[in-house]
Amino acid sequence: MRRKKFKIQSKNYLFMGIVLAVLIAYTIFMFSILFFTVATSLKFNPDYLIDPIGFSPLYFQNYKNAFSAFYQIVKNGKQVVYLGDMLLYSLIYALSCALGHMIVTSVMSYLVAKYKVWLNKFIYTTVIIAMVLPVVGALPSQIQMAKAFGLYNTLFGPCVMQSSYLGMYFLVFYATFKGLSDEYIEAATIDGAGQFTVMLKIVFPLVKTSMFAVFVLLFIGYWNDYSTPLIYMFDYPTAAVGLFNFVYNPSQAGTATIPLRMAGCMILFLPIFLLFIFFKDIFMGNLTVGGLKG
Amino acid sequence: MKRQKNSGDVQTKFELFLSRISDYFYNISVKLHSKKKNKGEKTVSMASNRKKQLVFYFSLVALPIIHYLIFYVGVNINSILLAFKEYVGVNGVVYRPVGFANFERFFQEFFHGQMLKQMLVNSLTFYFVGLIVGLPLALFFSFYIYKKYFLSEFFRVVLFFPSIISSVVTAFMYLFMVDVGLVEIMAKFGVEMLPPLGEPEMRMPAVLFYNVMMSFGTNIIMYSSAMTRIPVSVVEYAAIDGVKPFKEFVSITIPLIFDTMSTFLIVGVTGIFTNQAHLYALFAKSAGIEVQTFGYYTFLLTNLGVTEIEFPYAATLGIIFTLILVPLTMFVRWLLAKINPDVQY
Repeated sequence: MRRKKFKIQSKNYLFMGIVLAVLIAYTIFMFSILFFTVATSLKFNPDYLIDPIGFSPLYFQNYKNAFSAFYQIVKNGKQVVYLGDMLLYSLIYALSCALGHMIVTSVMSYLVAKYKVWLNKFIYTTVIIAMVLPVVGALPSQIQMAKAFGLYNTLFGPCVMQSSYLGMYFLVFYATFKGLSDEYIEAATIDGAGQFTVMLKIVFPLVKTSMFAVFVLLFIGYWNDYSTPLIYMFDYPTAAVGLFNFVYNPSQAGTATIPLRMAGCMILFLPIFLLFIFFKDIFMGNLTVGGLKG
Repeated sequence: MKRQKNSGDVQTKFELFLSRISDYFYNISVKLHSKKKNKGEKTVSMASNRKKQLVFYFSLVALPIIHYLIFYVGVNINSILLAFKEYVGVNGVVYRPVGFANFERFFQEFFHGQMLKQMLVNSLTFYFVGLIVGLPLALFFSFYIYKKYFLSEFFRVVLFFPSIISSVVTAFMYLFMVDVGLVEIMAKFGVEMLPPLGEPEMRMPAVLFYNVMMSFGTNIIMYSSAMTRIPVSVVEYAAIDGVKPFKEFVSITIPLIFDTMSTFLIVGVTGIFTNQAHLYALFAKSAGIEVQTFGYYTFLLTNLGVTEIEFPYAATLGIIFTLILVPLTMFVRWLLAKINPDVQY
């Protein structure tokens, strides 16, 4: 009887058992990649050359050396940017772009969701069109436009360009604001609150979790992004751009042995990893996207 | 008597006079008070409130719309114009019109060469592998997390992990792990193998594997969030009826998150020709033709040189791909709307 019951249960959970097995394989793969990187970043280069995967004494000096070996020459050879500056550029780039994009997107979606104005349909349609009607290959034109507006190769140029309401997060915020009862707004208006007060002191605090989640996700995206800074702000290399050059153009970027490059990878990875540990729940909070209707 | 009467009249007239003065000042006082009251308490009429709403709305909407007009509409119009030009860059002339020469170049290269054909095959391969392998895996994993099975929270973190790491870091880690780590480990077991990413025949499967491995993060969050919105009562009824996990996944979960799925599927189609497949992070400018996609090629055309010489051709490719993708996306959208169970909950 017990055997029969077990058989039925095992049949029921066979599907989930297979998924669990795949998940375990995935976890092992990810951890082995991380382990190899950490182990190699702590190897003395001669030891690495003798045996790339063997055990050897830990050599923490790579992390210190990376800060001096990890550099990039910019402004036609007039300036050298070291890892410390690159991390600062990364912070400025990621913060400004994430804030700009999040604020514009949240304000626009709030207005479209809560105000009955004829322009709403136009704004919503532009978002949907930008998502479902792909316009490919606009990069050269974007570069020309950035040059025309003096945004090319400046530290805050990408922030201006990224401060757009288009994109998936508009729909995320739109769904959030639509789901919010109008009673809060009406009550505040009766009590004499102005439009700006209602938005800032009543509505936004109610959705602050979603806003913070979007901000954090955007921040990570921009922190890790190397292609935009590589094109639009090459004299202000972020850590991701620096690492890219450090890994693929070692001739341009100092003496880059494999353990040093791995140490560089870890230095770029660690701040985000710490952020992730502290804000894990926000990173993986509930964000919902509905269908593309309209 | 008469004198008395007269004095009485005078008194009455005087009182009347005083009372009139008093009334006069009282009226002034009332008027002043009512004015003061009106000033203190704003009278909120529907019309003025609507006016304020509109002023607020348009003052906030103006800049983002100007931004949209410049950086979306303007950029795309400029891109179309660019496709009909040629870079000169001498004697103060930067561009000159060349008609359809860039389009002719594309069709020449496509029909008489192998490179662009190979790129088309690669772009479609990346898309379909993502659709056939990546999407089902993402849905299964999301379902596992949503059902809170064994170690689901831990797997949620592990699956999200690649999303927080720069693709430069993950690409280099993977490159090292596969081309050095794996080769060395196999050598320890006496198996000789060539580095997969360095070997043209093995490169495509290795890059495809990497792309699938790195694709779960945000998708898992979105899908599992959508699944948590499924009414508990529906799931409980299914459990009482003895519905097995796989049946629940196919018959309840997928139909109820179809809207979210279709959004991602449509966005996926729009990315067929822009997907770089992490090639720039894995190989910088030297990815072999056996893995190159149109997205990677367009990026190289824009980023390769110090001048804008290939900008018009890159813009031309963009227009051609857009002309292919617009009807394709519309068709996929129509198809998904047709098969959408459209369940309200």
